[in-house]
Amino acid sequence: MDLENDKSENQWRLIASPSPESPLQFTSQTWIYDRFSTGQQSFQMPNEVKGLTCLLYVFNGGVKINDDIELLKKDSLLVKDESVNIVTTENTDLVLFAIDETGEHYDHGMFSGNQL
Amino acid sequence: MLHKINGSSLIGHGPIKVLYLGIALGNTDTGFGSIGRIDHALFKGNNLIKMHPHINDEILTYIRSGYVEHIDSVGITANLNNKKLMLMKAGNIFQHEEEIIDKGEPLEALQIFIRPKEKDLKPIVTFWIWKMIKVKISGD
Repeated sequence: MDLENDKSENQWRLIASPSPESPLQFTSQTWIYDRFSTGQQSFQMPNEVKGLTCLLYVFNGGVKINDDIELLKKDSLLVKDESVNIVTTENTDLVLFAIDETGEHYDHGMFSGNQL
Repeated sequence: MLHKINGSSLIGHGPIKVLYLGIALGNTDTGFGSIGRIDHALFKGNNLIKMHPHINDEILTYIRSGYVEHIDSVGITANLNNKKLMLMKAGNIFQHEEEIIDKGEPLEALQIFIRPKEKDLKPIVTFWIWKMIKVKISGD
C-alpha cells in the first residue's frame, strides 16, 4: 500500500474499538472501520464484526447490497444477523459502525445521550 | 435483519446534517445502543466553532477533506486532517474550539458521538496519525 495514501484502499481499516490493540479506544463496546473501494469491487464485512449489530454508512459514492439494496451518499444500512455482499461500481468511501447491543453504555451524555 | 436508512432522514439545514439513528428507526431513544449520533459536516470557507462543552460523550473526528485546528481545555492544540484522526473522551467535563481553515478544499467530515461505558470518566484526548505513530495525551 502507498504510504502516502490517506485512505485504506480495498481493505477494512480498524480505526477505533474497545481493544487496546486498535489505534483509538472507546470505553463502550463500539467498533469503527473504514474502507475506500476503488471502482468495481465486491466484498463482505470484516470477519471481526460477526455477531455484532452493524451500520454501514456511505460517506461518498454508492454501493449495492446483495444485488438488491442501493445505498448512495449519506444512506446507511443497519445489519443484524445477516451476511451481506457489498458491490461498488465507482470510487466509494464507507464507514462501518459495529456495536454489541448488550454492552454497557451511559446514555445521558450531553450530545451522545438520548435527546428525547 | 437489513434496514435501509435514507440520507434524507439526516436532520439539519446548515452545514451539519445529523443522523439520529434511533429516530430514523422509529425508536424512543435518539441514539442506538452505544451510537449517540453521527454528524456529517460540509463546511466551505473559514469557520470558527467557538469553545463549547461536552460531557460524557466520546467523539471521533473523522476528516476526509479539509483542515481543522483544535484547541481544548486539557491544554492540547492540534491540526487535524484526513491523516490525523482525533478521539475526544469528554468524561465529566471537557471544552474545545474548532477552527476550520480553508486551504482550497472544503471540510468534509464526520463527527461521531459514541456513548461512554460509564459516566464521569477522566477526560482524555487521543490522536491517530495514519501510517505513522499514535500520540496519547491525558488530561493531567
